[in-house]
Formats: sequence, structure tokens, C-alpha cells
Amino acid sequence: MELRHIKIKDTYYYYLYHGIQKNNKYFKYEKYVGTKKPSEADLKILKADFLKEIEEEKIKKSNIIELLQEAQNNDNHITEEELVQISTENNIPLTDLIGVATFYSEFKLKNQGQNQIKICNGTACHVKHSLKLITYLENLLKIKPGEVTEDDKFSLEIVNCIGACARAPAMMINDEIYGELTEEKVQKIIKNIK
Amino acid sequence: MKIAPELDGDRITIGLATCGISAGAREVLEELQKQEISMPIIQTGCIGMCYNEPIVTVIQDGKKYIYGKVQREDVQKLAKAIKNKKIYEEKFICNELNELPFYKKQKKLVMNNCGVINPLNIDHYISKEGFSGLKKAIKLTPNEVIKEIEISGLRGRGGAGFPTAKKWSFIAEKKEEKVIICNGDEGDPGAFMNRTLMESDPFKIIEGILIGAYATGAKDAIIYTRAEYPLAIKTLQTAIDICNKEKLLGKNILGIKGFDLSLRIQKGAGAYVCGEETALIQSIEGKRGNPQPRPPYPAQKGVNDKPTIVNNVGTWGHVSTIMQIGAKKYSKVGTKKSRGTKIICLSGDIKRTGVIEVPFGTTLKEILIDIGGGTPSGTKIKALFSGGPAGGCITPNKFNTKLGYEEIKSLKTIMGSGSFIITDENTCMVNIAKYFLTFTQSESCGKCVPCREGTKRMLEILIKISRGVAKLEDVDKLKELAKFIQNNALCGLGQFAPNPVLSTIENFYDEYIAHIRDKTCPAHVCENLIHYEINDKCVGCGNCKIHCPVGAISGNPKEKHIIDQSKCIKCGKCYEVCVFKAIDKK
Repeated sequence: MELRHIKIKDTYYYYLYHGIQKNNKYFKYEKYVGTKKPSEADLKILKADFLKEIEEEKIKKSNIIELLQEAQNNDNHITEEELVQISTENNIPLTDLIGVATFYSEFKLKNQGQNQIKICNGTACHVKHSLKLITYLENLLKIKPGEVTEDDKFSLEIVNCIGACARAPAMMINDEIYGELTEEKVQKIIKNIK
Repeated sequence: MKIAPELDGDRITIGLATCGISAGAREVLEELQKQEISMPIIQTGCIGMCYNEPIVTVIQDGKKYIYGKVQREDVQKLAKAIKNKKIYEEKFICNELNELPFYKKQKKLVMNNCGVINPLNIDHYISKEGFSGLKKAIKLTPNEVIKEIEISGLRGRGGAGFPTAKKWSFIAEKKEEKVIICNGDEGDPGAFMNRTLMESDPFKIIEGILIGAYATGAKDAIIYTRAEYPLAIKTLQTAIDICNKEKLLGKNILGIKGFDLSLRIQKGAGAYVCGEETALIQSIEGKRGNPQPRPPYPAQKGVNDKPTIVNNVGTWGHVSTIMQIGAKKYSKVGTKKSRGTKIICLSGDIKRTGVIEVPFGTTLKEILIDIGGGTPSGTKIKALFSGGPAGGCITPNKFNTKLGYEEIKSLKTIMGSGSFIITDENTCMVNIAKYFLTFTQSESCGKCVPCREGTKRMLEILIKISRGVAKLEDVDKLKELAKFIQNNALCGLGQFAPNPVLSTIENFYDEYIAHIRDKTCPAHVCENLIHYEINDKCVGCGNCKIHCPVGAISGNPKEKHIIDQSKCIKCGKCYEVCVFKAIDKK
């Protein structure tokens, strides 16, 4: 990265040249200096300032996951408006945000039920016939995985492992884990929440 | 050193880790607190015996009584027994854990506190030799600490088994800012040892990280853990807050100038591939968890381009144990190449599920039969799957193999994180291979073609086989694709993805052939290759007819019923509800 300048009508503009970048981020690192050419020492400070700004920017950007987690905590999913808002507020391209949001299974771009059922289909649960429970839940709630019930009470999701393998088959409703499930147990748990 | 008074004298402990809670331990605790018992009730973590949860231990007049599967209804009777100083026979398991076959062959070096102390009480931890490892470490120079770890022979517990001391020395010599990461992104299905350790003894992990920070000079540490582990996150965060308050984290730790460490938790967002170190670093930086080509290795350029080391939660736990008991003593446990102990999770078709810690060198037979107790039904074990979706299967004729990184590798599977999933005769190997590939396929990040496309093609072939429409040459195609993916995928996820398929083909070739040539599934699992028939035991009760969701069963009362095969969707409901065993799965 080098410090370059242009002169427009007696005014010096200094900017940090990044080379070719995917987005137009480098326009951020420009500064109007004045009609006088700055001294060597001033230029050094200017460059240090720029680099510091970039460092800060980097750390801010490092929070895409955290930014999205925050947005999702308000309600149970991230809306399009929220994405746009995060994008403009933090100067993160929308594509990057959506790239991250669709990569991780935690982020939901659609409305979820008040109670999120995560039924585990990890290896241990699979060996203990979790697929049967999934079919049972589908019939009980009358939804497919990824959908929300009509009354907005439940959403169903198949996950790969919730770490309760010793008590397989297991499921997680919100933050609560239920183990050694049978169809009767599932019915009872769902009824209790309803 | 202060000894927590609650750990000396009469007390009741109850395990409140995830396993316990899922079995109803919280209700038991509530009920216990309502009883008038003049003993302190201590909430502990997981004792490892998941099959017996919720577990309540009563220590009275110097004697221990361990009760298992305690339910809310039992509490009153239990309280009465305690008051009368008697044993509540109904749920009594044993006096000492060592009496149980589950514990006899275990050696608890790292998990010694799990289920014994309150995980969030620092005094409890200190009275169990806690932080004595750190105190020993700071009397040595950083290089000497690394030397100690080297003497102990500790190898990474995340799966690859890379020597920990070597990893540390890569960044210890660097002068710039460094980062250490504790990898708690335990995504392997069947592995929950990290969760157990984080929930049951968080200070042990923090102590390990502190020792690592002292040895390497890193001032930044991050614990990366899964969002699916809310309790572990909460426990760790509280433990970190306590350490900050006690000045065990922050600036000039233990009064040593320049020994600073800031520790924070970063919550993952649900992607299996993020357990891979380069993907994990991407995720910490907030990006998509795409693995990166190495070099540059994280030790050269890691989080925000700073030199970084990534060690598994288990490894950090072992570090504190090594410093506490001494490297020489630790290195005497285990085998020549794999020293110390390994925490293993037993699940699947096994009688005693749970978390165990055994020395390296224990045979698989001892683990599965002596500790695990074989299958619940008493039938033969068909195979043991180790290493999750990146590993393979081990057949019973190889159960005399000793536990160790190289030994397991020689069986063409991997140790991995230590997840052991046991399957019995009712498991179809083609179906399991299909399952594992579905898993890796859906978790593939999509960056490199061999993994993204290759696993998909392999899965398609496996689906064909399980439907009985494949040809014999498809097995060769599978093998060819597998080799190509192994050699060309960018990261471990892709390179190891074909392992379960290759391993099942090698060990259960006849089962594949049965699917392809004979169009049968020997284990009666693959839906398209089975059908249900009613035999002469039928008394015509009509139960199956009521339960059949598609109305495929017909027949008059008290007469033998018939299944209309063209309507049957093979859901197996009739098979389950029939009490006369009149329905055959063929």
C-alpha cells in the first residue's frame, strides 16, 4: 500500500492506493490536506492514520457473524431490511452479508416459530431411528422440516448433532434438550408446550 | 491452599450437565431443595455415566451412596432414607464408582473433577489441585514449559494427533502479537467430550489456556464453541468472569509483569467445516468458513494475520493435568507413541452410553465389552464407527487392537475426536455409508470441486445401491471417485469424506453385493428392498389395520389379514404395533 496524491485546483488530496480491490473501499482512505504540500513527517503521520483506520475497519468487519447474531436475537430471523441496515451502517457489501448468512445454518432468513424444534439426526440418533421420529413430528405438526406451523407456534429443523448422543434419539426445543425420545414422549413434550 | 468446606463432610451432589438435564435432573433438584435435608446440595457436572442420569450422590458420615435414574417421584423416598441414614435400595447403584465395570478400566486424569465439584465454584477447583499447574508453570521459563509438554508426549486431542509442544514452539519464537484458540467447535456426530468438559470443569480448560499463553507469549485467546451448546457457553462465560475478577485473567497475572491474557468466547454459527483450523479462523474473522490452502499455516498467518495456534478443548484440559501431576508421571500412562489418556464417547447400540477416559493401549474389546457392556439386546456388535464422518468402521475381529493414533490408523480409520458409535446387526452398512455421505455432502462448504461435486456423485451412486437399481460396476465407480476426492480435496473434510464408504465396502462387500445383485437388504433397513408380510401367527385382532396410515391392510376380525403390497409405503407401523409377532420383515 502506498500513499499517493492528486492535485485539483491547488488542493492536495492524499489517498492510500490499495491496488485493485473487489469493492470501492479505498475511496474511504482519502484526505483533503490543503493547498500546501505536507512535509515528510506529516506524511508519515498521515499514512499511520490511514493504516490505523484500516485496522479498525478490519476488526469491525470481523464481526459479520456477531452483527448477524445480534440482528437475529431481536426476533428469531433476519429480515431483508435488517440486512440492508447492517450493510449501510457498517459499510459492508450486502453480498458479503448474505454470503455469511446463507453459509451458517444458525442464520434464518425466514420467519421461525415461537418454539424452534431442532431434531437431531446425528449418527447416534440415526442409528437409534431418528428418521422415524422426524416423520412422526412432521405428521404431528403437519409441517415439513424448514417450515412453520400455521399458528406460528413451532418450526421444525433437522440438525446434524446436538451433542446428546448418549441419550439418543434427542431433540432440542429452544435451548432445552430432550433425550431418549419415543413417539409418546415427543407427543407429551409438544402438548406441554402448546 | 484453601479447601472448600462443602467438599469435606456430608453433602449431596447432583449432575446438572446437558445429559442430566435432558433426563430430568433439574426437576429432581427442585424437589430435593424442597425437602428438609440438613446437607448442602452441590450442583456438579457430568460424571460420565450418561445411561444412569439423573445421578444423585449422597455422602453421609464418610460413606458414599450413588443413586441412578432418580426421578422426581423418587425424591421423597430418597430424602426419607437420608434422614434415617439408610439406603434407598430401589435406585441404589453402588458405594464407589470403581466398583462398577463401567469405571474399573478407566483412568480419570483429565475428567477427575467432572461430576465431583461445582463447575462454577473456583474454590472447589482450587481445592482439587486447581491452578497448581499454572503456579508450577510460572516458576519455569516459557521454554521449559514447552519442554515439559514435550516430555509428556502430549498429542493433539482433536484428531490429527500433532505433537502439542511442537505446535507451540512454532509461535513461541515469534516476536509479534500472537493468538491462541481453543477449538470447541465439536461438530462430529457422536462426539460430546468437549461439551462435557466445558460444562463440568471450565476452569481446567482456562488453566490450560493460561499455561499455553505463558509458554507461547500470546496475549489473546479465543474459545470458539458451537451455538448448539448453550449451557457450555454460559458455564464458560461465568468461569471467565470469575477469573477476570480473581485476576487470573487480564494484566500481570499472578503478579508476573508482562504476563497478560484476554480471553473471550466466540460463538459459532453452525457449520461443521469450521472445526477445520483454517475455516475456524475464517469464521472467527466473521467470514464464511471456507478452508484456506496451507501454507501459510495458522502458526505463520492466522487470525487477522497474527501467528495463531489452534488446540482442541481436550488438549487444553490435558495441558493443565500434565502441569499439575508432572510430565514424567503423565508420560508413563499410555503407549510409547500415544501417551496419556483419551476421552472417548460411547453411543449408539451400546448398553452403557457415556463419556469415558481410558489410557492409550486399552484394547477396543475392553472399551466396548468391559466398559460399554456390549449391545443392549446382547446380540453381536456389527461394527464400531470411529472418527465420525471422516473415519470408518472397525469389525469385531479387530477388537483386540490397542487404542492409539497409529494403531487405529492401521485399521484404515481415524481416531478423530474420539467418538465411538456402535452398531448392531440391525444396521445396514450401505445405509450408514449413505448417511455419512449425506452429512459431509450437506456440510461441504462448496469451495473446491472434488468435494462439492464428487461427494454428490458418490451419494447418488449410494442412493442407487440402496434402492436396488445399481450395477456391479457402480462399486468400482465409487472407489474411483473416492480415490480422486481423497487426493484432490482442499481440506480434511473432503479428503476424509470417502472414508466411511471405502471402509464399509472393504469390510462389508457382501452386503453391497446383496443390494446390487440380489436386490435385498440383509439388515432389512433400506425401504425399497424390504416388504412386510403377515404370517400364520395372525389372530386377526385388527390392530395393524387401525394403525396403517394408507389402508393397505385388509381382513375380517379373527381371520388372518393381508397386506396389499401395491399400497404399502413400508413405514413399518404394523410391524411395530403387532404384539403377536405376526408380521415379517423380508
